[in-house]
Amino acid sequence: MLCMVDEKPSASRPALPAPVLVVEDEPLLQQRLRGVLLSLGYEADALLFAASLAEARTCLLAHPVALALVDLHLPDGDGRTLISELREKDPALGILVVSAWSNEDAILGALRAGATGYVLKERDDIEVSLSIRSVLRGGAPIDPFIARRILELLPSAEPMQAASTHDNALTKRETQILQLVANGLTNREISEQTFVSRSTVDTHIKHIYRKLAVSSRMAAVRAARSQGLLP
Amino acid sequence: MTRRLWAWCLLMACWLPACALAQHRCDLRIVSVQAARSPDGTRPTRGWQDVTLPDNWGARWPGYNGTAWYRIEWEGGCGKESVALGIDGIADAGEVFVNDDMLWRDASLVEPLSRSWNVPRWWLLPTSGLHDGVNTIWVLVVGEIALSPGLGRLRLGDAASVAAARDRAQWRQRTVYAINAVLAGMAGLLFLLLWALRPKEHAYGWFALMSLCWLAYLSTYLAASPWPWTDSLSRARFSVVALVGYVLCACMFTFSFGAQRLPWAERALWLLAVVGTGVVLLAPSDALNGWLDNVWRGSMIVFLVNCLQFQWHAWRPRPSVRQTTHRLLALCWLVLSVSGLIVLGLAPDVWGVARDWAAINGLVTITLVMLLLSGQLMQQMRMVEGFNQELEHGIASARVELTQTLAREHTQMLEHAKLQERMHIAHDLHDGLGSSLVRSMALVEQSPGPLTNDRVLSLFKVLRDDLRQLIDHGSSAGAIVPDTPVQWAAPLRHRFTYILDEMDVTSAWHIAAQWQGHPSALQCLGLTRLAEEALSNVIKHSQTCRVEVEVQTQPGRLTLCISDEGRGFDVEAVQRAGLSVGMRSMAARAQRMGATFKVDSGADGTVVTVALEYHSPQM
Repeated sequence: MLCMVDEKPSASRPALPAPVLVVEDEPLLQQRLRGVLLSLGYEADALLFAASLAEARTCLLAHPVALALVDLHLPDGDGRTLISELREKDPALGILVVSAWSNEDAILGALRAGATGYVLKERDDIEVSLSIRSVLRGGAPIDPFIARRILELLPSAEPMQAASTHDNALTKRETQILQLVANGLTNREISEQTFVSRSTVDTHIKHIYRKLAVSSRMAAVRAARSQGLLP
Repeated sequence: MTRRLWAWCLLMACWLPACALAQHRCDLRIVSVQAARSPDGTRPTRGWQDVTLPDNWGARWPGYNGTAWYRIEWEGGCGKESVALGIDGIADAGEVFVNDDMLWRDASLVEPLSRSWNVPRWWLLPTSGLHDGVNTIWVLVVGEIALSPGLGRLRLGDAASVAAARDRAQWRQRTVYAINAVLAGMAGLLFLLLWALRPKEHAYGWFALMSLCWLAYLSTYLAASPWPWTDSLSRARFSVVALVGYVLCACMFTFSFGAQRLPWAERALWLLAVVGTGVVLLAPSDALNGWLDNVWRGSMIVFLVNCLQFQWHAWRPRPSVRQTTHRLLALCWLVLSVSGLIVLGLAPDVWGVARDWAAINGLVTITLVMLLLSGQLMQQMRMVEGFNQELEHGIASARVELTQTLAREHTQMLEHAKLQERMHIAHDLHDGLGSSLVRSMALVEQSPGPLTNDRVLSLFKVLRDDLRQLIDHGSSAGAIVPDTPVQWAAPLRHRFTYILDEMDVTSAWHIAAQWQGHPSALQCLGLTRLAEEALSNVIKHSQTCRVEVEVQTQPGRLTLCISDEGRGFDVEAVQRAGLSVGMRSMAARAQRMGATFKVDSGADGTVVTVALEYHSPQM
């Protein structure tokens, strides 16, 4: 068991964004996430737990949240709809998917719906903890295979092209970063290789995620137009 | 005998013109018609006998061959107006005189005799040679007793009426036969050709022969000389042989066309034909007439019997579908047999059809030709249409069958593939998760005391990793071999670098750029799991500050090396104790993917080496 995280003094951290909404139907895993979050320095009363989409929505009506951990498979539906709703309300909200299934399409779908990152349930606590901390830091966890898929999905901006024509096109720097992610480099390594700060790398990745969401929204608009639902 | 028949017919036909002649205003009157034998050819002075024309001397002077004179005395006429003479036939050859002036003579009065018996002629009588009062027409006739010798119908009158009567006679006696001969010849040649092309169609062959025999028989009516025979008797024999052939062929054609199987009748017919032919060819000249007559009658009877038996064949009730063509042929034979009966004198000639028997025969011939041709054509067209339909149907059914077969095969293949896949999964489950499970159970069983939570957890994690490997292998992500080792290592590197960074452990990754071979998807996954476990062990146990991951490739093989600078452990002791779940599961994994697994550990760190040989170039 990896337990080194727990040894880090959590009190020294700046104020953590609270409250945190955990949407997870399995009580044991709820308990696990509670443990991870507490180890990160959260107070117990800053944590809100919901076992279904309905509960989560009720919760959200009462408390605007600062961070959300969402499972995709919920008893009353797909977590992605909740992610879309959250993202719509707060574009800056950190949303981490805690999924049981590493299906690429499911994860990509969650990211397109507006998730900031994802982590697999089966991973050890330290990894879950790392991912949450990454989101808390304002970063965006990204996997090599997700990077590869985004490179396939989004167009690369031509060097001389006006950015406005392709607001979802990847810049040269973004493409470079994604390529490095796809090769398995961490944000730290990327920042070392590209001579930018880690936070800049995080910002880039968040931009990339936003473009991914935009591209999916644009696709939705296109589809709506073609079906005559929009002018 | 045929001539007698013909003469008998002619009698009926000439009745009306004869009546008209009597009512002529100039009132030509035949005073007497007499005949006398003249063995030397000169005009006899004695032995004149009154006769009526047409005359056949066979009955009057039995057995008399040679020359006879006919003397026709007449009176009247309109003075200056010319008088015409018409004679419907001189059997076989002759000369015509008006008083003492020769009016006409045949080309040959000796054998081979000219054949004038069926040639109607007319002449204008030269007025200079005519007397007032009674004038005489002299006709010299040269004939054979076997050939019904005598003089045909004779007319005297004005040129127009005699010429008209001669034209009518010409039509009846020659033109009808000529048309018949042409038709018979054409039909004969046409069907002979068809038969040559399709020898299996026996009916065609018999019909062709029948037509040609009929043509040969008709030549009796039309030939001007006995050629190619040297005498008239041979010519007559040949005609009757042709008739026998005609009847034989007609019967065979009927059997063949009507699809009748009458082997006995056929044999009998052949026998009769041979006998008839023999009789005709061998009969002595002096008795030839009777023999020819008998053979002719016999042939006619055979023909009639055949016609009648075919009526029964065509019209009798039968279970199968009746053939329309058979009935048409039966109708033709019916007409012919009725006319034949009349000819033979066995039925009353109510409508006077018998004299037109030859004409009827010609018409029947044409009908038969059309019948055969159209029937054959219809049958062939129907066969072609039927064949097309059959073909279409065949193709359609073959297509349906093929589709069904393909669908069935496809389903079978699908089922087979599903079964294979299921077995594959079961196999994987057994080999991977199952063996890990058994190992874990053995470990728990053999443990002297209760295991710590950590040990139990690590057991579960091994099981989880095995399950993950199975799932990844079954899913699209695991089924694809990454393009390069860098791509293969990327997820591992990503995950563990974050963790190691968090632990302040330096990590260095040296990954080869190319595979230099083709690892299988399972090998890639197994390698991933091995690396995961090795790195997990490093993180858990080594307390190192530096990890190095190296992937080296040589053609056909790959070496994965994970080394740390940690505290190390006694490999043998751990293996002996059987305590390390991780070590044993790693070794088992390496074994499953056909790799060698080695752990070297000492005071300056631990090195885990996995050497893998790619299975085959396909994967």
